[in-house]
Amino acid sequence: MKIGIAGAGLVGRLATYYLQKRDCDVTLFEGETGSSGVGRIAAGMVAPYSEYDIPTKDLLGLGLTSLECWNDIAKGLNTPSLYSLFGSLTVAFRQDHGELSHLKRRLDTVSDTISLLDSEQIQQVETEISRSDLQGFFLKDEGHVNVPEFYLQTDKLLNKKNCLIPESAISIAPKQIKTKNKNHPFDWTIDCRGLGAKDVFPQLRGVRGELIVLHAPEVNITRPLRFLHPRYPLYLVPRPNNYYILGASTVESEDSNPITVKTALELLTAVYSLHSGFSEARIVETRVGCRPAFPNNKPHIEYQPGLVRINGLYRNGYLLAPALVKEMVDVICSGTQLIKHKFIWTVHS
Amino acid sequence: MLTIGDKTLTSRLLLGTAQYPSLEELQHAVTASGTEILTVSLRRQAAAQEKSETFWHYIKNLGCHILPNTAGCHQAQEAVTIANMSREIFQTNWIKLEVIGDDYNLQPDPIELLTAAKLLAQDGFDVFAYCTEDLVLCKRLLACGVKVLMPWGSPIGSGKGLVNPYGLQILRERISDAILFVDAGIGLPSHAAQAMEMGYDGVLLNSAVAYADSPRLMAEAFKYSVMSGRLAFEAGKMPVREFAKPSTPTIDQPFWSENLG
Repeated sequence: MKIGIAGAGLVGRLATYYLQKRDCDVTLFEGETGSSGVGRIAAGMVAPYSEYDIPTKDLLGLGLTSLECWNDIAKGLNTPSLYSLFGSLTVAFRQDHGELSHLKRRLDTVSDTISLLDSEQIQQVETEISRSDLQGFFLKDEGHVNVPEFYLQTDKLLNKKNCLIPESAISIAPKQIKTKNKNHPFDWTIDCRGLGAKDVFPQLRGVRGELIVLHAPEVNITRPLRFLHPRYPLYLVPRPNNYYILGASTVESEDSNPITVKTALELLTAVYSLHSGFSEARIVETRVGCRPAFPNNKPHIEYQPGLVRINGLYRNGYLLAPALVKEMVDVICSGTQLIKHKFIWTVHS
Repeated sequence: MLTIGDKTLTSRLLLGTAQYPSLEELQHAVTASGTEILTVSLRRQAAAQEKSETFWHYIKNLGCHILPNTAGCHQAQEAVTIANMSREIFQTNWIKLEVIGDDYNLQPDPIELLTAAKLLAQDGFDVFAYCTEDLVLCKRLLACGVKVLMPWGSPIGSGKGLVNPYGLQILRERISDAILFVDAGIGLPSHAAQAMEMGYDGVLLNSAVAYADSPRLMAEAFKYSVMSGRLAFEAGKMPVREFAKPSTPTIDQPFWSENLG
């Protein structure tokens, strides 16, 4: 089966991976200003519980499926270091303990194994986290993806099969993708252009996120840490060799200008308060991206014979994409009776 | 009915637009609350492109009056700048003036607030001043042309309700001819009802709805509590007594039969 995919971001790459496993002949289209940006700069947390929120509770199942999918993907790409699954810590400073009880009350509705930890118990999980006013919980079923490694390995996949066409898709129709000078026929087409798909999803909006990459040789934190904060949750995700991703703001704006002083101060103060070893850390890079979101902040898949459009993964790309893409590939290969999460799909016959 | 300037309102509940789980959930909450005024914070970093923002279009399409605010400002001049930017972007003279004096409890700075209020009122703004329940400050604010006083119930986002009901009651009684809303600190519908029973003209809140497990249900709960509190105020409350007074006449009992010691 010949499949054309518009957009070589996280979703396009996962679709390529799953479709090639089924011996499909995949072609990816990605222009210079394509949508690979936001997935490439993300921290890669796969945190179904930390991200749990009552209004989006129906996404929990997808997140739990993704935890397993990432294991398989890391094996499938022969790169065990691509994915770590040994839990995460959610912590709050004294003034934010109220936020912690709030999240705990919500989590108690889906799990009875999450217990509140005091600062000593937190230190038993992460030995270098020793602030005495911390409370938190350890969420053992949470992981994180080594995003640069994922992009590196999928780049290899794309290059090996020579399936990347460095051109933007101008229009995506059932069984056909049009580029500037050519119509490309396929058996199926997939539109996963993120914010680039506003022509077909006018209600799609970008939500700004700002991140900082730090190199902190004095800090040895092994798991993702999430700090609860009244405005938005902050997280610190370790990368190999004492690099850390510190993120991320959530600003209702489609603005991709550089990080603001205010966000930088908020992020850096939080991390410095947590571990004084960050005082000598180097700011390696700052990143800004806009996540594609629908008004309900949930993903959406639109299906018609010969064409599937998938979009709106918002803050939860790495958490939701594998489960969603796997389901989408099942449906493309075997039919709409394999749709599991009906609330995400719109099916046109 | 409540009239502010040339606008007549049927709802006395004002809602903030921050921290909702999604835009869709905000929309449901606004509809369920019956509110007619939404307060919106201008994000300076996005000001240049605010007009083209999907978020802003979404808010505009909710069909409410927009009350821009100066959240996050610490100095009068800073607030005046934001107010001017907001007037241009949101096309309204209304401004909810917030000038914060303490970052820990987000308490208004009365000195800077007064300075900013004077400047903005002179410049033709309808100023809604976020203030404390200090009577003298409130009188000064009105004297310099503030349209609506918005004393806090308790610190922003704390959900503690009315921590100084005595002060709020006195303020309402002493300033009976201006529009007064309780703004900030409301956590439960009963807090809103309490403010309305005192005779406040309305209540502004955000977190209590946005952080609820179901924002739309909580919004509806607030709609009824505000209506209920207002009706109670208009109905006039019964006198409070030190002892029980049976509501059912006890005709077979002599008047002074109880041993009152």
